[in-house]
Amino acid sequence: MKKINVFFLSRFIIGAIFLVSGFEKIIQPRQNFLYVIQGYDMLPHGSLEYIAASIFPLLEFLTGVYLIAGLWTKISLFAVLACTGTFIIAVSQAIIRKLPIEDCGCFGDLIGVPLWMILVMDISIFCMTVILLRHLKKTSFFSLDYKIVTIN
Amino acid sequence: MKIKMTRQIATIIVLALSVMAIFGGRWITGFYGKGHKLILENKKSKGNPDAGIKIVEYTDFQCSACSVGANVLHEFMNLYSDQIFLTYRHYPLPSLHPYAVKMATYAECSAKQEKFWAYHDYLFENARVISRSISPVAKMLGQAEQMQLDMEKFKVCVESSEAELTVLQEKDAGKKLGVRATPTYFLNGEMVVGSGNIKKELEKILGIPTKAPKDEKN
Repeated sequence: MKKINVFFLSRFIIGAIFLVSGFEKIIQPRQNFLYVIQGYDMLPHGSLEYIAASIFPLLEFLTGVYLIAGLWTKISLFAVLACTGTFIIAVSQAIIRKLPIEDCGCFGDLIGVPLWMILVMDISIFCMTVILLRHLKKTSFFSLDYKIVTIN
Repeated sequence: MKIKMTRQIATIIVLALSVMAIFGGRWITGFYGKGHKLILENKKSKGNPDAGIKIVEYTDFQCSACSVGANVLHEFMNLYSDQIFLTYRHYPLPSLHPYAVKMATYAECSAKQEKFWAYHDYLFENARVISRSISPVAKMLGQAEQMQLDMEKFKVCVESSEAELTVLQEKDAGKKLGVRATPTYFLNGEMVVGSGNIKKELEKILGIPTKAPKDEKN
């Protein structure tokens, strides 16, 4: 029986989560995600919130795409760490401050996820990503990175 | 060198496909967030129909941020009624607010008797009391009676599916415009989400010095 490559599977799942989450936010009006960011009350009101509302969905989407394609895998994994790290901080402070957030706003309109659940998910993704980075060779199985190196 | 070039080409191809996917997605959804065709005069409108500032609000009577937003608009309407034209649209969120659809239906029926705004104010001011009472329906009917609405017509209206259908149709129309959260406003056709943001935008248009907005979620 053939063994399933858990590292590849994890890379694919994390990539899919980022792709779907980013894409859903990108096709929505920016104001919706801006409102989500404002709800976390972390950034100073104004242009910084607007920049974050513009950049984060794009960063999430591209990270997801590159992770699934397996292109620049190491950089994509570091991008995942940076994103999930930021999410963990944002969600934790919202929970500690008891901010009135009913839905994390992470997946736009697709699904509503409560804060505690998304915190568990983000921590899991963060830990899994660290493991993937430690096993980069296995993680790069069936990836464009691997193909390019093999072909050349 | 060859490896680097190949990876660069792959990067460009993946990037190009991503951009195409984004534009494809936006094209399919019809570039949400624009509500230019929304401004309609009806029984749920108030202010000056020829005003330069036209607002369409999508709210839910049980949402506390919407209540804050209603107060903000109320203040602006009091001070600048000749400069603003406001239209109300229902956007109940029953998964968060169990009485939202019912409240919207009752408000819709009050609109049929030209008492929408008074009933609207009552619902926003008393949403918590209504939802926590033993009989929310009795409370809302009681208010309608107090406002001297034709109770026979009102009861027929709230019991028929027509008013609820209007509420749900308005919500669907909002969804097609990209409304996802409440309160969402279309200020001269441009989407603004949140009571703090609509306040800021109105202050900007009317030339009032802005204070940092503090918002409440749903």
